[in-house]
Amino acid sequence: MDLTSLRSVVTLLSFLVFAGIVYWAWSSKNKVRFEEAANLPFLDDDTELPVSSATLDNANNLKKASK
Amino acid sequence: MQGSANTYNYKVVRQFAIMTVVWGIVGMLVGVIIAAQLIWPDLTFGIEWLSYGRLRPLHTNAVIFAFGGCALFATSYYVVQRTCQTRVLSDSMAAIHFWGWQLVILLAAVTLPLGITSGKEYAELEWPIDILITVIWVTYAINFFGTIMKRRTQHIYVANWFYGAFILTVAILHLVNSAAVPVTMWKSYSAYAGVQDAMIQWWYGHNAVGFFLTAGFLGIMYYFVPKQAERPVYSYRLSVVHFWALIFTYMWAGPHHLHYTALPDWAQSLGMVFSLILLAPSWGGMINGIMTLSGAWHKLRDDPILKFLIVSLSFYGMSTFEGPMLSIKTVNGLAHYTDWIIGHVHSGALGWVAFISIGSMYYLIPRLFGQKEMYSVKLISLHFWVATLGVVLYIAALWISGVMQGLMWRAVNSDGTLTYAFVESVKASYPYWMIRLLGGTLFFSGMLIMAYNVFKTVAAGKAYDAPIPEGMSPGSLPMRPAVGPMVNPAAQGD
Repeated sequence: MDLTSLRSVVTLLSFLVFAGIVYWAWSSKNKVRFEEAANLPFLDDDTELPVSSATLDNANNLKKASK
Repeated sequence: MQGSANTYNYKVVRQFAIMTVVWGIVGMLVGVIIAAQLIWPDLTFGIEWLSYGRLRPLHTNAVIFAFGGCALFATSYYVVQRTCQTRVLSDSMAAIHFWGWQLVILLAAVTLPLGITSGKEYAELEWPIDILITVIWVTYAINFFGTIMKRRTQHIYVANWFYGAFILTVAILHLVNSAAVPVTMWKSYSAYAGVQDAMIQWWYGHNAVGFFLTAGFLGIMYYFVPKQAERPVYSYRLSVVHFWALIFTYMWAGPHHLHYTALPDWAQSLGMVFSLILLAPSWGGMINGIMTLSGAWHKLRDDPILKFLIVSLSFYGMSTFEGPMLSIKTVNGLAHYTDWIIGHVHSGALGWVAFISIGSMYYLIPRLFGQKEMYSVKLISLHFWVATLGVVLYIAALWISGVMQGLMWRAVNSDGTLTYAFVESVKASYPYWMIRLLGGTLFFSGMLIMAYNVFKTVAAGKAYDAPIPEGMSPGSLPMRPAVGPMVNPAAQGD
C-alpha cells in the first residue's frame, strides 16, 4: 500500500470512529448513564456552606476534632 | 487544617483563585501600557527593558499562562475533587504545582524584559524555564489523573474530560515545540529548521489556543454554567460528541497561520478546511452551554455571574465564527498581519476566556472563604458592564483599523506601484488605537473593581474547606436531589 492510500485509510477510519462515538452517545442504551453523569455536579450541593461566622467556627472546630 | 481526609483540598483552589485576580491585573496592565506605546512610542523613556518588543511577550505570557493558567488550575482542582467526591491525590504535589508555577511566572517576568527569548510566539521562555515547566506540568498531570482514578463516583464528569485533554495536549505541545539545542544558559536554538520549524511553531500556537484557551475553559463552562443556572447541562450527549469532535479536528488547523508562505500549498488548504470544520464543534459547545439556561432565561436578568458566563459563550460563538472565516485563504490575504487578527484574538481572549474565568472566580471565591456570595453583587454587575463596553470598543476599533490597513497595503496604482507607503497606514490607524486603548483601559478597570470586591469578601470570611459528603458509594447515583429547579435533560428535547 502506498503512502497516499494509507492516508486515505486513516482518514476513513477516523471518520468511522467518530460516527461510532455519535452512535454511542445517542443510543438509547446509554441514556440513563449519561443522565446520571449530567447530574454529577449536583450530587453534593454546597448547602453545607456556613452562613454565619458562628457556624464557620463550628465547622472548623469539627474539622479539628476529627483530625 | 489541611491534610484532613474528610474535606476537599480548597487551599490550592484558594491560592490559584487569588493569583488569577493578581496576574489578571498585572497582565492586563502591561497590555494597556503596550497599547499606549503604539500611540506614544516614547512613553517608557526609551528604557530597553520596557520597550514594546520586550513587553509584548510579557503581556501575552502573563495573561495566557499566569491569569488564564491560574484560573484553569483553580477551577480544575475544584471541579475534579467535587465531581469525583474525593480529596485531591496529593496535597504536597498540589503545593509544588502552585509554588512552581508562580516561580515560572516570576522567571518569565524577569527574563522577557531582559530580552531573553527563544523567539517562538507564546513559547518565548528559554530552555531552563521550559524544563521547569515540564516538571511542574507532569506533577499537575499525575495529581489530576490520580484524583480521577481514586474517584468515588461511577462516571467521569464531562468537564474533567476537557480538563484532561487540556493537560495531556499541552504537555505534548510544550515538549515538541520547545525542543531546542542549548548554546549557553540563556540561549538556545530550535531543534527544527526552516518551514518545518514554522509549521511546528504554529501547530503548537494554534493548539495552545485550542487546548489551553479552549478545551480547559470549556471544562469551566461545563461545570460552572450548570451550577450557576442550577440545572444540568442542556444535552450531556451533545457534550460527549462536542468533546470528541473538538479533539478530532483542532489538531489540524494550525497551517492557517502560514497562508501564502513557504508552507506547501496542500498543507495550507488542509489547515483551512479543518478550520472551517471546527465551526461545527465550536458552535455545538456554545449552543449546549447557552441552552442550559433554556426555561430559566429570567435568571440572566438579575444574576451578574450568569451574565459573565453566558456572555462569554456569546463571544466564544462570535470568535469561533470569525476564526474559520479568517482561515479562508482569500479572506486571510486581506486580514493577515493587520489589526483585525489582534481584534479577533481579543474577542476570544477578553470576551470568552477572561469572561468565563471572571464568572467562575465570582462563583468560587465566596465558597472558598465560607461566604454565601461576594461582598457586593452590585460591583459584579458594574464590572460586567465596564468589561463588556471595554471588549466591544476594543474589537470594533480593531475590525475597522484592520480592514483599513489590509485595503491600504494592497492598493496599487494603475502603473503597478503601491498607492500608500506603510507609514501612511500607521498614521491612519491612530484614532482606532486610541479607541482600543480606551477599551483596554475599561477592561483593566473592571479587574480593579473585582480586586476590591475579592479583597472585601476574603477579609469578611475565613478560609473554609468543604467536607466530602459521607455515604457516597460508587454506582449508587443519584443519591439525593439537587437544590433548585432541576430539569431532566431528557425532557428538554436533546
